[in-house]
Amino acid sequence: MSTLSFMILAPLIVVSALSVILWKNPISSALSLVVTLVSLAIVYFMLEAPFIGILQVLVYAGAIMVLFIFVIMLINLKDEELESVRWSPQTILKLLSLGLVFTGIAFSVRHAMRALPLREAPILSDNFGSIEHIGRLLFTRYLLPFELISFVILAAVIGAVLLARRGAQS
Amino acid sequence: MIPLHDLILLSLALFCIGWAGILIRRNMLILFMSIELMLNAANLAFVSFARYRGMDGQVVTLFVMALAASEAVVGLAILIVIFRYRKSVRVDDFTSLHG
Repeated sequence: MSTLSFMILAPLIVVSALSVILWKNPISSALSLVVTLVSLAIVYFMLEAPFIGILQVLVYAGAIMVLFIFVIMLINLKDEELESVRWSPQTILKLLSLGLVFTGIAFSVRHAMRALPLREAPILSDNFGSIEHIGRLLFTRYLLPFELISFVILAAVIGAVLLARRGAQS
Repeated sequence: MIPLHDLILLSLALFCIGWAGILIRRNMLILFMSIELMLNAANLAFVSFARYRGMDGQVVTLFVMALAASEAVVGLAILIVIFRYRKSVRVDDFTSLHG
């Protein structure tokens, strides 16, 4: 069942991700990105990570994408200012070398997976991936990174306010 | 159960698509979206390994999400300020630090 839905979701994720980088209009790209993020959230649910899946929808597909769409509308680019990919020989060379990197890593992943003792998924306890389990880890083993993340967010908030205000003054 | 191999390949594909976006596009908004794609690829790898090796991957995913949110906020604020002065979102036009 989950393998079958993954067979549908994986191409959907790849196609929508490709359309993110190929659309000319940023709004279309943003909406394709929402499709990618929501499909990824479904994959997280299938991987026994319900809390991460919910956060993916709330934070990514909700907050971050709304921010993107707001900015796109604020900037309001005209049609002639938009440009898609310019297919020069340089671009094709870039993509070819990237494809080479992709195949190289894909083959090494294949080999590494043979060596790893991870063939069968372990049977999980009931509260795996639950809020309680994550919260317990956040406040014991990951307490220091958790507190540091709050500083990062504080810095981001102050930075955003400062940038916006200085722009308004001049 | 989804095979780990397929998940890692999907994550790799997502990362490479984001990378390709950074290489071939010049619109700053699309570049930010490509960065989000790459961060999501990392998240997918973390969550799929968490399924096999215990919860730590999921906690790291939380941190990555928080970082991605703050990165998007500051980046888009900078983008708006630059747009006010330059009236453009093409990264090739931003050359005032070029020396």
